[in-house]
Amino acid sequence: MEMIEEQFLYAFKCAVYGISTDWDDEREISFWHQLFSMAEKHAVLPMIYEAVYNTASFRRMNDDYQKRIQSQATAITLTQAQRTANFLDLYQYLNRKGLYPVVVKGITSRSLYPQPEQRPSTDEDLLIPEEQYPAYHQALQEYGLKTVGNDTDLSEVSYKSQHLYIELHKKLFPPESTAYGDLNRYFNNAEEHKLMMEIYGVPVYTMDHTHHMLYLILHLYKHFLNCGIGIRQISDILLYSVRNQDRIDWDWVAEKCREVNAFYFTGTLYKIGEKYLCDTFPADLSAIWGTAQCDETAMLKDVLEGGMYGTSSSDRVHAGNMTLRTVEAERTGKKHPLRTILFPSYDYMKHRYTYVQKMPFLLPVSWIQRLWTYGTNSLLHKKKGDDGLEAMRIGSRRVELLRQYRILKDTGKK
Amino acid sequence: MMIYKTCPGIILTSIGEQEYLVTAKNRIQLNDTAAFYWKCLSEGADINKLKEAVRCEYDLEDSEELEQEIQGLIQELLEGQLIQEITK
Repeated sequence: MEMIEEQFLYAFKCAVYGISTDWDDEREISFWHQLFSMAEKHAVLPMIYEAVYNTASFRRMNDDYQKRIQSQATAITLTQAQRTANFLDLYQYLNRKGLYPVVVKGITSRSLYPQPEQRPSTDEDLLIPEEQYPAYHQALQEYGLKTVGNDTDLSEVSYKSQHLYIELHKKLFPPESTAYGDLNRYFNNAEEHKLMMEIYGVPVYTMDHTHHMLYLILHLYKHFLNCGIGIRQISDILLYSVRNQDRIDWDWVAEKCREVNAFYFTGTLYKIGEKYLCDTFPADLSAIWGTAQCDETAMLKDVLEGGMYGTSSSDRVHAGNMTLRTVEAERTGKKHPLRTILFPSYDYMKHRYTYVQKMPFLLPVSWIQRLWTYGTNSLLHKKKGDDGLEAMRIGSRRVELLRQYRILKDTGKK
Repeated sequence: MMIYKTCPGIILTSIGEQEYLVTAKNRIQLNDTAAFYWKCLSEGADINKLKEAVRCEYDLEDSEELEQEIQGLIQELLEGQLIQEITK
């Protein structure tokens, strides 16, 4: 691991604990540039600022630089706080309408941190009983939110306003997905497992700790099958596990992880947490996940490179299609020819190109647009050694990761 | 007895040394004293408890001026719908 990566992880760990780093030596401007660039990539800039702003090292930087970073951190934190306030206002509005959605991730994950609003979320996810969707749709529109895209038949419908982005889930995972659609079976009765927690004085319903724990893991697993995962999502899981360890049925969680080939993946997440984000890792967790005995090096490299949800570059986003198709191919027993990577299915394209959703006959146009955009981006951002095949290289490397962490059973050897 | 408590859904956040109150409609930059008052009120407090906390924190003598200052602040926060009155 590079020095800057080690330092980034250390600063992030301090932020998770709500303490400052112990840096008092003189550091080059290039160090701070790299540190805050990594912080931006992982969407944790305010947290890293908080962990360093009061150190002698950072104080040595010129005032303009300190103010610039402070102003970035402040803007992100206050924007998030505004989103949180708006979300809680909306939640109370829904309650007054007799609607009590189950909140997953988002605000419940933020509340685990010493300064919740320094950990931004792009959206808030609400799980609702499918049959109540019309009532939710009407209430959200009356509140002033607009749908994103027009297809309200999807299992997930998004709504937004200036300071609010809501993902309304009739199911937690897209049921049509061959790779992870069947994960919904663990959450079919989420309504029966909900519990109430208070956030900023507002009662909010969420899933019970065991189901929520499994959901946080499987949600990350879903992203790992696509483009990747970020360090913040790992710390979300670690903090949730530590905070609620006595209220989680760990045997059940581990059993479900085994059922979907996610046990070694999860064991590796905890190993990263134990080595880099924790001072004392709970023995109970170690007893369960330590049995996976995984080498976390390759996953951590992928995490640090990929940034939040592994989308640090367009190459990685395209590579995500390759890893996902490989998993689907194994699950369905069908091969995935290059054709399906270059010309993905309607189901894949409709989420990325909204006009395909409305006019499916334009699918070929969206293929051309996708290839054109990718080709243009590759040329415009061409780096040394970049021959436009970077996505394929990343994809192949990430397929190997899926094998290493036993998500794919196929060893890839013939 | 009248207890004052912060309204639900109002966020106290900070970045660096600076603390802010954020509501669905507004952002307010707080000085240290205001932030201290807010933290006391988030637990719920009557005038006497609030006065006692402020006196301890800032090493002040009990005085009519102090009580008036606290009364004024409470009135302002009530008008801004940032805190609520609870009768106990």
